Amino acid sequence: MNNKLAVYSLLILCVVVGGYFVLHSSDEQQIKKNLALLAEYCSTTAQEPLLETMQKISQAAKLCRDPCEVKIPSFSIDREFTQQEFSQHLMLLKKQLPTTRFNFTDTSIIMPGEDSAAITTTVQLKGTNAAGRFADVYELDIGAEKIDGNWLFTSFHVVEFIEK
Amino acid sequence: MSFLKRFFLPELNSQFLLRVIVVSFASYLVFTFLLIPLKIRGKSMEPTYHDGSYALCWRPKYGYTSFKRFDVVTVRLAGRHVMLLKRIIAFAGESLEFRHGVLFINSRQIDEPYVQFNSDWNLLPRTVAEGKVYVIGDNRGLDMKRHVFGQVNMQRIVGGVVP
Repeated sequence: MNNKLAVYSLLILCVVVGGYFVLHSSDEQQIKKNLALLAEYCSTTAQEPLLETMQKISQAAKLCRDPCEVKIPSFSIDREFTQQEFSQHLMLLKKQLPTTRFNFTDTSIIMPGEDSAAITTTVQLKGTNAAGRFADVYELDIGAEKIDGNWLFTSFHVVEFIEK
Repeated sequence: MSFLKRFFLPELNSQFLLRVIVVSFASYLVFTFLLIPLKIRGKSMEPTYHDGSYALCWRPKYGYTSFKRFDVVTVRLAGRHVMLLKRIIAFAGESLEFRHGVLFINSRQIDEPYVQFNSDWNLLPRTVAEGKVYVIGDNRGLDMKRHVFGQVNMQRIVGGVVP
C-alpha cells in the first residue's frame, strides 16, 4: 500500500513539475518566436518589393502594443509611439538601410508575473549602406505583456553601457 | 603503421565510444567556459585584429591578474555570443582626452604603438568613474561618431584575448 502511494505521489509530482515546465516554456517560446518574427519583419532584402516592405512593417507593428514605449538615451528619445508612428519610423529605417539583416541573440527572459515578461537581448544589424558594409550591435531591454492570449512587446529600451 | 591505422581507423568498441564522449564533453567545457572562440567582425581593431579573423577569449585571465593598460579585452552585451573587442586605455579616477588624435592621460601624452591609422580626433577631458575602465578600438581612421568606445563597467569584461 505504501509502495503504491509512493509511486502515485511520484507520478503526480512528475506531472506537476513537467506541466509547469511545459506551460512555462511555451510562454518563453512564444516570446522568442515573436522576437524572431520581429527580426524578420525589420530586415530588408536587396530590391525588396514595396508591397512586401509595407506588409512586413504592418506585421512588425502588430507585434507591438499600441502605444509602445521607446527609450534611446543617445538620441534623447523617451516617449510612447503609436503603431502608426512605429510604422513610419520603421519605413524610414528601411529606406536608410536598404539591405540590413536584424538578429536577436543572447536572449534571456524573466517573467515576474503570468502576463508580463522582461527580456534582455542583443540585437545585431548587418548590412550595407552608402559607406559600405556595416555591423552594429545594441543591448536591448524589452518589455512584453500577454494581451488577449498574445504576447505583445510593450517597450524597447536601448541600454547604453558604454559612455564616451 | 599500425599506430596510424589505429589512429585514423579506430576499432569501434566501447573504449572508443567512451573516448569520444570524454573528448566531446571536455571540448564543450573548455570552449564554453574557458576559451571562447571569437570571429572578428568589423574594422574597429584594425590593424591588430582584421575583419573576418579569429581569436580566443581567455576567460580566467582576470581571476589571477588585474587589468593592465593596453590589454585587449572582450566586453559583453546581453550575453557572450556577441561581444565587443576593445583595448583598455584608462582606469577609474584617471582623466583622459584626445588632442588631434593623440591620447593624453592625466594631461600626459601617451604613446600608442598599436595605432597605425592617424586621426584628428578631439575629445574633451573626462574622468573615468569608479568601477569602470575606458576602452577603445585601435582603428582611429574611423569617424569618431561611428566608433564605439568609452567607459564600461568592469563587470562587463568577460576576459582577455589570445593571441
